[in-house]
Amino acid sequence: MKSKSCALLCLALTPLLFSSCSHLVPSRLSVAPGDPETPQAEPAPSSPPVGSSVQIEYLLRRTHYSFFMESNTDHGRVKSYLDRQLLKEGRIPPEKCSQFFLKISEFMAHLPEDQGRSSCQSPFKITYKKGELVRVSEGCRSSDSGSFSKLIREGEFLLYSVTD
Amino acid sequence: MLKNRVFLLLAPLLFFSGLLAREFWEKTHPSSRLLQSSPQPWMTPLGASSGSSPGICENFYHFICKKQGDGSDPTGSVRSDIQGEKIALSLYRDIILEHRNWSVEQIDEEMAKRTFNTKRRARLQSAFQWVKTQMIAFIEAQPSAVFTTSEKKQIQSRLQKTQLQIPPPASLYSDEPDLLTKNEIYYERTLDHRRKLRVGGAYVFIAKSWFNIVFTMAHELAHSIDPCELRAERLSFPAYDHLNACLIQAGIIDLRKDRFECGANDQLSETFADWMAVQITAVALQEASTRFQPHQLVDAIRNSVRDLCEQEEDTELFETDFHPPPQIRITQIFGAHPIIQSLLACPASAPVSSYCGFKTYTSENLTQPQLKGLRLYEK
Repeated sequence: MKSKSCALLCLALTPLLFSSCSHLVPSRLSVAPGDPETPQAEPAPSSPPVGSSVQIEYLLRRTHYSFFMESNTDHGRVKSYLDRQLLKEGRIPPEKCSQFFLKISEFMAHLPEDQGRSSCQSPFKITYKKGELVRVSEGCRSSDSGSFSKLIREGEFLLYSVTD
Repeated sequence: MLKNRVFLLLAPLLFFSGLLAREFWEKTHPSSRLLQSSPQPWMTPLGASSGSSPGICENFYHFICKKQGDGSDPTGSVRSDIQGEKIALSLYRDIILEHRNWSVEQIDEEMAKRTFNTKRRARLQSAFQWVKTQMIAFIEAQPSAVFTTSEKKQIQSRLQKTQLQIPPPASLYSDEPDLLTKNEIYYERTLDHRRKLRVGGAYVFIAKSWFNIVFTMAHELAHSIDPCELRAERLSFPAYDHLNACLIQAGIIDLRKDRFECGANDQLSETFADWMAVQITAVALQEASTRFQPHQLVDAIRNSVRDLCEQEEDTELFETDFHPPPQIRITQIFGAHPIIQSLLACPASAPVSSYCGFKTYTSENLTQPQLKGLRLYEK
């Protein structure tokens, strides 16, 4: 009886002891029809992936950055933010959009499982949507040999190459 | 059997009651901490008692963060983060449009050359050298009760070997090319144990004030000797344990429920870096006080930490937070230093000769050799 009382008490106290269960999310989430356990890089799309989008959010020390790209029928739309303030937005050719999505897909497919996110000072989160498929990956900038930074640079290059 | 059913019925009920109780507690006690304690006298917020500069001393955070306009001190101003990035990205765009046939790498090389021109490089390098020299002197000035001779040598050696990396060539940042248009200055240790500071290209467009550069460089250089960095290399010093306990007791380091020392949600390394940066910046401000007009000195003090006012608090997205809030960094760490208090003519709440067990600089104990030569670096 005592052990059951103790168990009841523990159950009641559990949420008080742990601040949030959301801290316990796995380092990578993949939510998609068919649920591919290990995301694979996609083959090069033959046509622009209309309705696809990618949202990249990352922290660099104290600053929050966000980079967004979305494909429409005749163009790609790109926006970048610093601490939720718009830095720039622009349109890019659809084929550039496709190429960038492909790179995102490859990057996500090769992201290591555990990057010690809990102690990461510069974490990032990528949300890639393609039709009904939504894929989310998280990682740590400092432990990926610069591939994340290069990806961001390519996105910025596309955005700042346009003539408005 | 019946008891088992009662148990099964009660279990989820009690669990959700606990959830509701926690939610209520967090809403009604937003700043609840495991350890509540009174700040030590030298950490009393600036101007807690009446003083001769009431507007500044009684609301130091407001004084630093709410100033309108340029706020230039004689060495320059500090602009907002977004202004710096807009300038850097505008330059980036100009280069791309001027050279349509260039590769991303060629664009970055030109960007590095235009951003870190000779004058800006020299200024950053001189600030870094001055900060390094001062930090080594600060460690040397500590009594043997704080650091043994051997400990001092270990710390000073680490400082001495930490390098500043500034492009060009842009290939110096080939593993972080986007840094060329970012605001950040930061410290990092590579896998082969080399220690370096890197400077984002946008930072040179926002931080013209020498005092901001000094504080920022000192903060980052301090990470090369912070308690967590040393622990990662299997080094441990009793003086750091004492400092950690002191900063926790003063309520500066937040003891969160999900804090893991030197890991997730721990503010120790960032607080230490601020604490050390203040020691060094205070020397620069003390020296400036001998030649600046009072209003110029006030602007210099403000510019030292003005960029700390901006801090993204996005715990929902990333659930990590290593920096104390701006109010604590500005008021309880920067504003609590005896030299800052003295320069603003704020009444010190207690005579100060130590700071969490460390010997601290005051306006009285700073020696001329420490101040000498500062002007050579400043411009």
